[in-house]
Order: sequence, then C-alpha cells, then structure tokens
Amino acid sequence: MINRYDRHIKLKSFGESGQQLLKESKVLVVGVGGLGCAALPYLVSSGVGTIGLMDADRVDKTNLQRQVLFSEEEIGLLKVYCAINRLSKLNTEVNLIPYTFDLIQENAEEIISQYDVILDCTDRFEARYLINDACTRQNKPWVFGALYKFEGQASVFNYKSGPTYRCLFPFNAKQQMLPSCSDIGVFAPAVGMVGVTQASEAIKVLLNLDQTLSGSLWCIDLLKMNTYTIEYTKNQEAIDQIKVSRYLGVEPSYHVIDLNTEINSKVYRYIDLRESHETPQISHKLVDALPLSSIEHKKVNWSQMGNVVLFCASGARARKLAEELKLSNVRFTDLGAEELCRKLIKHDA
Amino acid sequence: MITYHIKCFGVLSEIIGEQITIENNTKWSVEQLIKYLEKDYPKLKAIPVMVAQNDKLLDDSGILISGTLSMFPPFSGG
Repeated sequence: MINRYDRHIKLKSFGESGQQLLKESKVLVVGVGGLGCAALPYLVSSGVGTIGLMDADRVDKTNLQRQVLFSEEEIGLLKVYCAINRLSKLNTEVNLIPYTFDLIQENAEEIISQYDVILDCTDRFEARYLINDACTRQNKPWVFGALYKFEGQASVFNYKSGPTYRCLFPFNAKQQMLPSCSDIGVFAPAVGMVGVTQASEAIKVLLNLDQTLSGSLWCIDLLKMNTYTIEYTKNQEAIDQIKVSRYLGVEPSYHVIDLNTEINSKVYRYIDLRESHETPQISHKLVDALPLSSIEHKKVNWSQMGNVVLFCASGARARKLAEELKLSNVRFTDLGAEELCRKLIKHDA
Repeated sequence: MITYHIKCFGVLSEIIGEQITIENNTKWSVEQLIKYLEKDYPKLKAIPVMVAQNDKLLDDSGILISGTLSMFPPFSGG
C-alpha cells in the first residue's frame, strides 16, 4: 500500500525514519491568526503527530481576508475549534489539542514544556519575549514570523544552542510604539508566505537538519519581490539574564518613552500630581491638577479618563501611581514639571 | 570620505525613504549614525532601529565602513 507520506519519504532528508520522527513530534502553534492558518495545514498534512493550537480569539469578519482556515459562517466562533474542525479532515492521524486561552506568564513554562518546537504565530512583542524566555529556560527551539504590510521576517531561535530572539532584537520599550496590522493593514499573501516558511523551518528543526534559519533573519518584500537574510550572533549575557530573571517576557511598562515624539503623535491629558503649594504652577490647556493627596477622596475613575500622562516634580510619585493602577491608558513621565511645561509650550509654538 | 548607502525596510522606508546616501569625514558607529539620522527624522526616536552591513547585524558600538547598510525595525504583525 502506498504510504500517504511517500513524497516526503523519497526525500533524502526525510526517509522512513524522518517521517517517523515527525509522527512522534509535538508542535505548539501560539496564535491561530494569519500566520497560524498558513503554517498549520502543512504541519498537519506532513504528519506531525501532535499539534497544540492556542488562541483565545473568535473569528471576526476582518480575519477572513488572510486567515484561510475560517469560513464566513464561522464568524463569532472560537478560532481554535474552527481550525481543528477543518484540519482534522486533512489528516485524521494527527492529534490536535485545543487551548482556548492566551499564553501568559503563569502558564507559559508548563505548556511549552510539553512540546518539541513552538511556532510564534502571534502579533505582539510581549508574546514573543514570553515565548522566547520560556523556550530559552527549557532549551527549546522556536520559530518566529512577523509582518509589516507587504514585508515579512522569519527566523529560528534556541536551536542547537543557537541565538535567541533577545540576541537579535533586545527588548526596547519603543517597540510598544510600532503600529499593528489592524492600524496599518497587511498583505494577505505575505502572511501566507511567512506562515508557510515557519512550518517549513519547524519541520526541518524536528528532522534535526542543520540548514535552518538559526542565526539568520530571513526578510521578504512581496511588493518588490526581494528577499535577503541578515546574520546575527549569540549574546550569551542576554541568555544568562533570561535564565536568572524572576520575570518571563516583558514587564508591563507604563513609562512614556519620548515626549518629543509622543506629544506630536498622541493626544494626552497631563495630570499634575503635585500638591497645591509646589511650584512652578502650570497653567496649560492639556494639564489638569490632581494633587496626590486628594485622589483617594475624589474617587477618580481612571479607566474613563482617556490617555493620560502622570507627572510630578521628579517622576517618582507619577511612576508609583502608574504602576499601582496598571491601566493601559494611564502612563507616567519622569520629566519634572518644569521640563514638561517647557516642552508643552515649545510644542504649542 | 566615508559614504554610506542606506537601504531602509519596514516603517523606516516610509520615514526616511527606501534608500539614502550619507557622506561623512570619519567612520561612524551604529549609535552615531542613528543619532545623526534622528536630527533629520525625529520620528526615528520612537522606533527601535537595527543596522546591518555586509548582511551581518551590528550592535550599537559596531563601526560602519564605507558601503551599503541595511536598516530595519523588528516587525510585530501576524
């Protein structure tokens, strides 16, 4: 009887033993959006024995342009179950495991420990640092993919003691400022191309092949039809840091990075936490006085305030309050009142 | 004279342009180049910029020789 994997088995890099290796392998796909929908059919049809699918989202109308596992009648349903429904028809031999929640600090290490290779098919930097750190601690390879409009990037981390995501992209708080696909759009075939490349790299890693994207960032531009790779090296210091850090991934940041840029690009209100006797007094249309000592009895509803930046004389009180509140619309600056005032006036001029 | 032909990718190509050429009397480090560009393109201050030469990524202290450079940010979309 002809084996369904005959065309793979005929490849020298596979053979019967390689195909058996895939059957015994476990792959976790974090994110069943554009990248996940492109990678999953190839992992399933190639006979990877166990595949975990992780996503808390439901199918949305705007997903259908690029998330090709979902159909119009599935709008509103959980992505993970829709994908499993479709994929199980492709290959009944594959064990598909649903996770209808997000990967977070608290569950990352436990779930990742159950798999051989992780695919990052998310759309957030925080998720990538979390996957990276959990995988680094467990010496587990993972495959990265990401998009910007018509362009894509892919790489393999932690493979055979190779570099990690932090060796290529050290954490930089400015990353939070980069726009997302929902803001700027993304070219559907570019998502497909990168997702399929991730499946390809994952299979090569499972087969223990040496020619992977470990140590190389693969970049593609589907508008100009250019591809190029950038080599990067291991940063042992960054890796050692991950292994001893008490926090996996990125600690939430409420710090306004660069007011010069952000005053121009975002509309904030500035909340002066200083007490009424502190000088200089600031009178500006974007500044509201809210002395720290008055906040408790005023019962301020912070989440209803829109985007605000807290400030005080040195930034210390502002930082403390922002970190206590833990709200995405409430941030702080460590520019003192005088410096902030100068910047606002300069901006007005 | 040191000449840098800089190819920009991702959001950087929209801020700076797809390719620019800069001439300077001395070799710059990656950090010096980015600082210089931030004066002309203040939006760069809010973007993490990676610089590669001869297809190899350099860190901030890496010294840039005359020739072609690639500048790109990490992508996040999926």
